[in-house]
Amino acid sequence: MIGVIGSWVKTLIVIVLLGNLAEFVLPKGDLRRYTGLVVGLILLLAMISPVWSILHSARPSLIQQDLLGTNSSQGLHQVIRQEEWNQAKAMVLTYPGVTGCTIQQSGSRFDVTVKTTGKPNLTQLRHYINDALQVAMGTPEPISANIRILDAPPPASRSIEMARHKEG
Amino acid sequence: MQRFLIAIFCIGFLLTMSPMAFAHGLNTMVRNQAQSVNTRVLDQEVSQLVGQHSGIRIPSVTAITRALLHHKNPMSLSAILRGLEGAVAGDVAVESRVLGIIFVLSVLAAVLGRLTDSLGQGGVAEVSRLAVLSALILVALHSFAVAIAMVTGLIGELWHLMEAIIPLLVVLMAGTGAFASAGIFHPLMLFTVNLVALLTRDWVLPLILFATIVELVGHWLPKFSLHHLGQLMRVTGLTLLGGLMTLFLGVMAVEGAAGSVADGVTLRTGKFLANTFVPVVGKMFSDAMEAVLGSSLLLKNAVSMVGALAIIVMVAFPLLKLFLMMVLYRLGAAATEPLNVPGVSPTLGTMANALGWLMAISGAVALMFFLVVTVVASASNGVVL
Repeated sequence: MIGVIGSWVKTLIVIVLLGNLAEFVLPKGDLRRYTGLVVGLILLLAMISPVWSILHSARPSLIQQDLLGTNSSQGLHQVIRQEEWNQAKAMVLTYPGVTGCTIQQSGSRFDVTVKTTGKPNLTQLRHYINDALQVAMGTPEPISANIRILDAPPPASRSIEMARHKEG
Repeated sequence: MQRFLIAIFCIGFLLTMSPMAFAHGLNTMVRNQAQSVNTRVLDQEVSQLVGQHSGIRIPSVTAITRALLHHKNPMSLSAILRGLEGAVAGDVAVESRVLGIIFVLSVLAAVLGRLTDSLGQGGVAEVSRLAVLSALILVALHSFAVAIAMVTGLIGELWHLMEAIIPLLVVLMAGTGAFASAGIFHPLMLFTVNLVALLTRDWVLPLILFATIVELVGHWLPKFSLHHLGQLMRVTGLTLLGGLMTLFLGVMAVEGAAGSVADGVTLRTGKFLANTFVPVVGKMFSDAMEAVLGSSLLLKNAVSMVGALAIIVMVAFPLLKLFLMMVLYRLGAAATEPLNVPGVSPTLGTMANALGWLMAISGAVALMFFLVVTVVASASNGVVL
């Protein structure tokens, strides 16, 4: 840190030396006046440039730390992906007759496992799941996922059925 | 049953301890303690750090203990004063040579200036002024570099001294029964000493150096002066030092008071309990305890006295040198002003100011370290007395 300040001061002093040299060498007249102005502006820029670079380097790290507490941009992508999956899951769960849904990614393909009760229209459900994934991920081309549909009737009704069977 | 066990334990303890405490005098006991704590390494370190430049010998811990016990003055003031006299003579000789060069240069510049004025060419006068001022600034910067290297070395040496003396002090402090103080002071002292030394060496001194260089360049080439930048850096450095000192003093005062009160209460309660509840030998037990604590108090005060003396002697010489340099530069600034060469006397004035700041910095650091040693000594004295 103090090294940074040292090199900053060195730069400023070199600019001052060159500016004074220019003042000495140039003939009296308009050119000399403008040179003075230009050297002053360069000096000003050199003086505030560390502030500028500090602000620039500070901003991304602030955002990451606020969101994630980790320091890599990898973590940010992970969080966004997770949110997209949750969104797709929520959409699938709104379909009538769907009781559970898990989404996993294997390579570039998605594995979607859906539990249903009753007898929903399966082709329509598959279309719906694909559309939900596409909408949630925001991809332009349609997504084709590995969809497994488990027809699991609710446990309560099954136990009642089994009881009836015994009675019969 | 429990009472009985405690009584047996106390009697056994006394039987093993009482010969040491009572059969011999205080003299022997102090010698025993001094032998049990190995101070030879510390003495070596101190004599190496102090004797390096000044040639003054700080007496060893055992010698100071003995002197304190016999109510004698452990170190004569005249030795220090004699050393300082020699140092003053040498410094004045060296620095007045530098000042002589500066005088000659500025007189030359004044004569050149008058000559070119009478010849009627302004440009030549300007060039001659610049040349003389460059030479002058080179000479001044050289002596400033020497001064700043001296202060950096001084801070490093003080740092070493403190790190050598703090563990011993803390051990002896715990030996006087000031356990809370020892527990509080140890991390606190190491932390503050390291913080102060590190920040001063790596931040305050470079900032002062930059400020001085920027201001000197401003006097040398008056166009595009960076005077206020220099002021900003100097104020930053000195504010850092001031804040550090305030923080340090506050923390030291509060912790010292708290620790010593806690220790005093603990120890007095212990003595009272021993007096009242241990049946026959309680009084004897508490008296023995007090004697042991008192002798280790003496040893601790001797160690902290060695530390304080070493700090004083180590700091006195650089401070004196800096002070002489500052006075000579001020003298130069005053004397070159009537010659009326633009830039010379402000340059010398800036140099004098910079040397004054260096003096303030090294004095502040030395004062803080001195306080560490003396506060520790006095904070745990209250426990036994």
